[in-house]
Amino acid sequence: MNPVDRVARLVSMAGSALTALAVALPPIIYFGLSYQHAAGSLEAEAELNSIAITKVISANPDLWTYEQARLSEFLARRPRHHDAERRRVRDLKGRVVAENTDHLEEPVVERSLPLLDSGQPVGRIEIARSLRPLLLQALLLGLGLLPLGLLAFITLRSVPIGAIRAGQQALLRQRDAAQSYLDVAGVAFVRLDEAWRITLVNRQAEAVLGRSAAEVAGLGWVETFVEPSARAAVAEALGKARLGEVLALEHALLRPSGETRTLAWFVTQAADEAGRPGLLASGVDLTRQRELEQKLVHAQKLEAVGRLAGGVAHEFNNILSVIKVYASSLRRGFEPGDLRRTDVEEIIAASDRAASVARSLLTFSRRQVMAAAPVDLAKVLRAAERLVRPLLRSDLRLEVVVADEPLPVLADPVQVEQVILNLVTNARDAIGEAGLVRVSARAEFLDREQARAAGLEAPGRYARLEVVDDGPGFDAAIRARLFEPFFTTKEVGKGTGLGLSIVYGIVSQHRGAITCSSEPGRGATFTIRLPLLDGPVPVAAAAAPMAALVGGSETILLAEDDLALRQVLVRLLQRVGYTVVEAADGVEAVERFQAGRERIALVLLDVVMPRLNGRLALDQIRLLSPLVPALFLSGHAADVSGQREIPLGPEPLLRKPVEPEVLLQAVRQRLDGASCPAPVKAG
Amino acid sequence: MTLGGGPGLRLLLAMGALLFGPAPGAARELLRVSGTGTALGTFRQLIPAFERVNPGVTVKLLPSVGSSGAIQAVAEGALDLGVSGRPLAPREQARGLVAMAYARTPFVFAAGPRVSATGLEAAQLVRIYRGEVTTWPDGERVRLVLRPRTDVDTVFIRAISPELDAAMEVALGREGLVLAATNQDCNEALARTPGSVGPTTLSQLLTESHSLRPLDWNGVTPTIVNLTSGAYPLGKTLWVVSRSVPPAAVTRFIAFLGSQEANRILERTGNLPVPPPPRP
Repeated sequence: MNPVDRVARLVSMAGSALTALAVALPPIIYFGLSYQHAAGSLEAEAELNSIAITKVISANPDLWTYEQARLSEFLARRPRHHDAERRRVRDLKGRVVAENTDHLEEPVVERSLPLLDSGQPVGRIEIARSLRPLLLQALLLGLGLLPLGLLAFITLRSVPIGAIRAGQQALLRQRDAAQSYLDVAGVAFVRLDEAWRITLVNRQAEAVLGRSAAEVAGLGWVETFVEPSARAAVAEALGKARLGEVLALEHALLRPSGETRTLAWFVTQAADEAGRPGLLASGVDLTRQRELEQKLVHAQKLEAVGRLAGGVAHEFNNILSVIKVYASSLRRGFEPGDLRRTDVEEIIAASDRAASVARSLLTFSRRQVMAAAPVDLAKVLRAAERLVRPLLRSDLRLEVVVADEPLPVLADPVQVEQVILNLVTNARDAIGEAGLVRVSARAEFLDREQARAAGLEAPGRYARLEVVDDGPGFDAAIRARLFEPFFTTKEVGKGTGLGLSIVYGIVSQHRGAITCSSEPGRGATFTIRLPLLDGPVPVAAAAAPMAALVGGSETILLAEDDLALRQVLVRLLQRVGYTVVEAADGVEAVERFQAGRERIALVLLDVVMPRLNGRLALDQIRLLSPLVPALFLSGHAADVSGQREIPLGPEPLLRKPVEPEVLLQAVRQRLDGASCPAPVKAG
Repeated sequence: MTLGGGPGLRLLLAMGALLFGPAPGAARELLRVSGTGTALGTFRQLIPAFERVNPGVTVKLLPSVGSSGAIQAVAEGALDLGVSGRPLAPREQARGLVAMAYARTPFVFAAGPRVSATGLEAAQLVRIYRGEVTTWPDGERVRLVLRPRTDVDTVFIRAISPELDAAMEVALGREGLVLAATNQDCNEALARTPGSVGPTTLSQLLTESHSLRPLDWNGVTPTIVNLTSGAYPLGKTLWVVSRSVPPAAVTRFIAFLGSQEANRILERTGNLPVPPPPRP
């Protein structure tokens, strides 16, 4: 019997008892009081009659017993509304001397008093009254009270029991509500008995444990769910749990599938509903958080490496630009066939290779200048397929699966091609022998959780580019370092270790994300997600044909903080007839322009400069002369601090190290008023 | 059996008493007498006269126990001679008792203080008993004194006429009326109650010192003369009761009741002596 039923039974019994009292007590009291009243009344009447009769006796002591008429008259004197009575006067022998009798029904109440003659008893007077009317009245009173008693019983029973039931329902609702809170809390709740066996789990705990509540009931916590290496420590910690104190611990939790999850537990000593001692623990699944933390650490590491690499590459670019300009100038001084010209050309080729490495590093560090425009990723992938196929051996099969729908993204198609090329060649090199490389692209929607897991900032629609190979795969240790520059598993001399770093840099610069999943012997999957644009991809204008190498006589303002590069550029421009006004930074550039704005026909600005960057310097120059043409020159797209990219606007951008011919063509085009030529890719 | 009172019998009884009376010096014979209150006043005067002629007999007049009480007391030997206002009932005769009528006295309706009326009409009395007349002509409230239902006087009144019989039934059911248990009580109640009216006898009026006014009945004054002449119709007969074989003193007393002296006393006290029954 449950407690509520027990209480209900007690209430029923109490209600019955009270009702019985309520029904029976008033008649009993009434009967008792009435009996007392009747007895008292009889005694009083006997007393009164005895006084009168005693007078008769005193007046005629010898013959009083024959004064029947007078005695009967006394006995007949009754109150107006008298009860039926039997009144008798007896002599000492008990003979009835006189009586006045109504019909009395048993039971009767009788009172008797002695009749005295000078203090000596000579007879008795007896007065009796039937108790039946009293009993009937008491019974009627009881019957009259019965409905009230029933009402009282119903009230006494149903109201408290109703309240108890309502309380029980409220408690059940509260329990259900609490259970639902527990279920939606996203926190696992586990209750253990004194022997640390599971007695209760919530829905979240079921999910964390990978088993239903029925399956885990009675299982020992430590031996079933704690990783063997941590059992002793966890047992020791649980043993320290105290009432009113919350103990925090974290351990790897074993699941039936064999996988582990990391949980943080908050444990306290708590009794169950029956008062039995035990433990109550709430656990938060930190598995994903720990993974994200690892990813964050990894990303921060890559960011640091990238910043270092970018800085180095930037400096290298400037140096290489100087080398290339002087080498080009030197080459023009030697006739073809001259061995010295060949040496100079080797210098130029080496500079180009060095520039390529620097460019890769810049790409990884996301400081590569990106000519981003809306493009259809599907078209880019199909175009890249033509570039990629010749690179693969005949025993490698390439599958390209592209969605029919357009996949508009804001991207530099050349860089995206680079990504595809790098991933496919990376897969090719990983497979080694015969195998399959599958490249696919499609649109997908990621919710917040999925986006976070993929390393993206926001949920939304993304273009998913996936490169899968069935190669040997790699373990977690390799996976953790995949995107580090110069990290390679290839033999020395067979890889630069920059391929995946470049991919990482490009994807990051496109505000996308790349993930990799692989296990040894199970191939590898690289998944890239780029934000999808809402609108269709506009038709790209055809690139203008490259203009012929020409010089001029105009005056050009050149702002470049790198002295060596500035000098070589001044020399190059002056050699083809231009007058050059030099500036070492953005502020100086503005001052020089202000001083000579009537004659300055074009401003050539390095983007990243101390004090004032090229973009802001041009903005101020444009305040003085809004129509002056300009060109930007840059080795990377971020400012010196590397904190943010510099929006360049519609002005053309020349990438360092710039080819002298390319620079002169671009200058001439701007002076001649060619409108917004397409960005010129550096050699 | 009832003995009718006759001069022959009385003479015989008187002679017997003289012949068989106790010799001088012998133990005195005690004669215990009681009965209806109507006769007690008369007996107080009869007894000394009897004792004078019967020196060996001491008559003890006990307080009134009423007619029925006296009959029962005689039957049980508690009395030697009873005085009753009614004859014996058959069950009383069956107990070996005999009764002899010795006098008649006018049955009177008397009025108490502050009543100026001098007479009653039968119809008026009926209305008084019914409660329809509640005041005397002078405005005084009529205060009716009743006797118990079984009392001889009540039975006597109910026998006067059917109207009075019915009116008495109504009166006995009325509340707040004075009820007197004995004749003496009745006279006392009448005497102390202003505006009262109730039954008594001329004998009582003459022998008890109460200032009550006997009322004329239908215009006839209750006197021995009117009773004797029949003009006054309401006469109450008085009886002496004894065992069938009474003590000698009883016999002598009964004989004395027929004597000249006794008759004088009876008449003086408002009684009309009843002649002894004829000798068989």
